[in-house]
Amino acid sequence: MESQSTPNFLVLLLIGTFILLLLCGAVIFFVLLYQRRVLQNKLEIQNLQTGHQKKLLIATINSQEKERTRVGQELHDSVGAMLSAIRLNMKMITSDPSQFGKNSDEITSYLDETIETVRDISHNLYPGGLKTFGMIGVLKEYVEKINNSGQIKISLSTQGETRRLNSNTELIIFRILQELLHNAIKHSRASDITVKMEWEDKFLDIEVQDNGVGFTSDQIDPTKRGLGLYNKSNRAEVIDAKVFFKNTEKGGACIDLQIPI
Amino acid sequence: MYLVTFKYLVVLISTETFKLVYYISFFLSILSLLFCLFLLKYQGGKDIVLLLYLGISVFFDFMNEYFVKWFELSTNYHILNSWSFVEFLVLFYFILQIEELKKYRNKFYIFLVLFLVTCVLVLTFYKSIYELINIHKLYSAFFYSSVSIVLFYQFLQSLKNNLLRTSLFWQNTGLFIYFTGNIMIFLMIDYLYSDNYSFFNTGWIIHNFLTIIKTICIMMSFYINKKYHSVNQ
Repeated sequence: MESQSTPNFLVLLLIGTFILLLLCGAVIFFVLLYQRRVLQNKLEIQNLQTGHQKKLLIATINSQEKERTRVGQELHDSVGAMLSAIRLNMKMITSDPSQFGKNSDEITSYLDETIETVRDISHNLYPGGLKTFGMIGVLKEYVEKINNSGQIKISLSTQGETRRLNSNTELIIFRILQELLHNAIKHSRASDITVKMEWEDKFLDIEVQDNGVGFTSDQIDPTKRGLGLYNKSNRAEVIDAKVFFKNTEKGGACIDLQIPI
Repeated sequence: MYLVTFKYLVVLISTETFKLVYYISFFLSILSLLFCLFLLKYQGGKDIVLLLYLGISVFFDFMNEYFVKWFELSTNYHILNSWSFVEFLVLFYFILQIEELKKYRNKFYIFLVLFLVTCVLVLTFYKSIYELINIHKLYSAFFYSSVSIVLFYQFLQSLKNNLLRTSLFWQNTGLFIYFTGNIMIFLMIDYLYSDNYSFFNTGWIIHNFLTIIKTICIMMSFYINKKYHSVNQ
């Protein structure tokens, strides 16, 4: 009787312990496997972030270079040309003082034009009215200027109670909108652009819509996006805003900017 | 066929094998104690508690026979019972030191009270300290196995570094394998002492083998503390 019960208990002990140890092994194996996957994901995210930062740096350098080229070209083409004309007039006065009256008028007119151009360039570099009139004021002035050129029609509308934001935030929003409007004029072949600003309690929602050719599928895809749109997304990220690029039902481009305030 | 296989098994788990595994386990415990003492300056609060645990286990193992002789007793059951009680309390203090288990502390205290109440009830109404008691051993095994699983879960919730380079992971793994693997032995401890030698030997071979794994894991945790402490410096 005893000899029969001993093997039963022994087998029970061995099998039971084996099963429990197998469970232990399974738990430890699962923990290690899971941590390996999580760490691998973390590494991939880190690599993506490094790639993102690299892309951001390239976008920043490109945008700086573009701005420098634009300022340089404007200085060369307008200010440079006008200063040359002033120099020529001054030379004529020196060689023939009897022409002083006529030439001095021309010099004054060139100087006024130069001052105006320098003001425009400086205004483009930093919108002077931003501190006094705020983002809406400067934007209205900018839109008016474009509308006056007769090239394209932009309508700006606001809904809700407008508020003044932090000066940096206002500058970034203005720059994004300036770039969006500039791109729409340059690339969209649109005749009408509408800018809607909706002020909510915790968000400012801005929608820029045109009746042009819209985005290509590659431009909308975040992974294939070009540096221009990438730059806008990154500028928006600085103020924790989100940018959505899409096409309207009629085929035009629609950019939605959601800014926490 | 079944009985023939069993006879081979009995030969394999002879008294010699039992003694061999026991001595390896005992000397490895002493070695690990010296190893951990050597690396003491690199260890934190909870590691010191674990070192204390190793020290007490070596002390109990070493003094086992002497206690029996000094008190002129026929068995060492009271020592096994006392050891299980001390083991629960020391390891309880150890888990209280673990930052990852901080939010469960109040629940752990309930289990501590339950353990103490169980011990008092068993000793008052069920068995004396000189008899073999398995209830508190089983309680310990289930409690620490569960705590280990909770700790593994916490590890996965806040994964920062490679777990194999975390000393607490090794300590937890050692205790988890030790307690879970011993559940069947603690459950059948009465048969282990009342039946024949092959059964007794098998039980204690498994127990000592699990002790060896636990000791190696603890040694590994102390080594990891030393290695990454040096790197940080």
